[in-house]
Amino acid sequence: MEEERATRGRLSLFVCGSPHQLDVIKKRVFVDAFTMSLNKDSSGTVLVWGAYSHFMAFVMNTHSSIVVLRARMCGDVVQSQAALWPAAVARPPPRMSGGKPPSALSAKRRRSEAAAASRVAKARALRAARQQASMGVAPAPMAAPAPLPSPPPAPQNTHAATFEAAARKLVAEDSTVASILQAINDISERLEIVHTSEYGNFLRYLFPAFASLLSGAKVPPMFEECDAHSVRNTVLEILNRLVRPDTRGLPLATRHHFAQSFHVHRLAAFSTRLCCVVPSLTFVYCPLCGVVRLGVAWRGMAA
Amino acid sequence: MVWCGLVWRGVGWQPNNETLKPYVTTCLQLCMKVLSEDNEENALVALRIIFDLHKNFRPRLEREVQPFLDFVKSIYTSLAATVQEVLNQPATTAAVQGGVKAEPGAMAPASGVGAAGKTTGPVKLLRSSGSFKVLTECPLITMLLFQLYPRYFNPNMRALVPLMMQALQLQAHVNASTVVRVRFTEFLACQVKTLSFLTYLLRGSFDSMKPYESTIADCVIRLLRICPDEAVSTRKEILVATRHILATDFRKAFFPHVDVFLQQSTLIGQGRQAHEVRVAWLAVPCCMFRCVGHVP
Repeated sequence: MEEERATRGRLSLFVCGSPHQLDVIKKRVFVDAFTMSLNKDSSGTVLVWGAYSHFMAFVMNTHSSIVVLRARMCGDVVQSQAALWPAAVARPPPRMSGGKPPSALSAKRRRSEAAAASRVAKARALRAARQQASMGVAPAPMAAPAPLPSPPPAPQNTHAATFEAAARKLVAEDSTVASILQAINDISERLEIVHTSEYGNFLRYLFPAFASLLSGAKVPPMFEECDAHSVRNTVLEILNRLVRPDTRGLPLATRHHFAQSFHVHRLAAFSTRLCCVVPSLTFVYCPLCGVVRLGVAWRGMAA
Repeated sequence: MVWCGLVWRGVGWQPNNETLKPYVTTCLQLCMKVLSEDNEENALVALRIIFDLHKNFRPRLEREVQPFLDFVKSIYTSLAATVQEVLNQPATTAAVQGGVKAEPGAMAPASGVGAAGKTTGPVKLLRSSGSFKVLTECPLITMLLFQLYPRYFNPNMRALVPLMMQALQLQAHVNASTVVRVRFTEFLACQVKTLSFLTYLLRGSFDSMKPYESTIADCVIRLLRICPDEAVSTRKEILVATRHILATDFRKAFFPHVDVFLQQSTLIGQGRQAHEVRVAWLAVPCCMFRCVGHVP
């Protein structure tokens, strides 16, 4: 149960898998791993274990094909291991363990069973071909294989196209401030994508658009609450999340939990809030390090 | 307890992102533009970005140090005019403003009907150059820049120290603490942050600060006297700065003020919160009593 506690919270899963898996998982890019582990529905389940900062998740669908995801706790980074994908979904592995879930087997045993199954299938096909040849019958074409899951996504990057479209929407001449605000809010809500390998494309396409918004005349600095101010503020908040590595990607609940624990345990007891805007820069005394350093205070972290 | 600390540190540490590096300079220039032209709210976010960029991408951002220091100088130069405009206005004008927006700088509804039943417009936002909150954040980033790029220290301190001393001596109107209390508290926080920065300078450039010895002591006493009772963190920061000053030879300037300084109302104020945390502040009176031993 210790692992369950450790993985409680929101986890971002970026899944590369078959249509069956995608039906389950890819519909929602951000799923709650802990909830999925409880919902053992017909479509699949998630088993989670590992250390606090990293863990591995094996997702099984009804065809028993496996997608191995490497994930980092707290929704930071999820890297799909594309190299494992084709072998996993090319064909459902034969169940040779009395219905025992493949995840319960060791990797070595799974490999040996798959190799044995392959050998048996080849031998059967060869025997049938010889028998037909001996009877003077032309070998019938092999039965059409069961429909395989669709191949993994092509190398062409669909995210890049999405980013490009979003950037075009931001800088289009005919777009209104309200539509820009809508677009920028959409980007802000899906900012977890920067914790994947798409971060480079995100910056390549959207950073010029952000720069254009902040420096252009379309959304000038405003000195009262309005949509234009909200657009600039949201762009700045996105940039702020990009440049701060120490808090990037921490979901709010986890951050709040750690902040509270931190405060309760007096590790931030000497922090001084510099202004009422949070997060704010502070002097933080860390008893573990024994030094006073510059830090960041978050909402809910009392001075 | 140890678990929480270790997890916090483990989660908090991540390597700097290489992907962002090509965009860092442009990002910093954008933030400098926002800082100088935009409103207070956006300028504060820009300041956070500037701080993080300088902290994480140190070697390649040296060109952007001087523009930021120039901005700090300009905002300190215009501080007297800002104080005159915001805090030293007649009570009637301030009261009218307070009737519509509750108080400048206070949180107000974006639109709709105010507390007094009057229809209020959209919330006005301050210019970054006229914001006390923005100025409050500046000394900390300046200190970081001096630590990261020491060669900028001497040429800029010659201009910054007199400006900061002038800012420290600025006084708001007598009614400001009641009429525009939020802005007054922000102004006080900005002065206290400036005092902390000057205290930091005492270690490195003692001789250049020597002419301001008595002025600093006077300002500390004045700040303690006018600090609102509810501004506990501000008062605490004054006391922390005072403790650092008392650890240097600048303590001599406090000798004429010992009696005033050791009054309970001056030292910890009249507020209930102040009394609840007064145990933590006993270090300063202890330092002061040690100084009393040096009084001729």
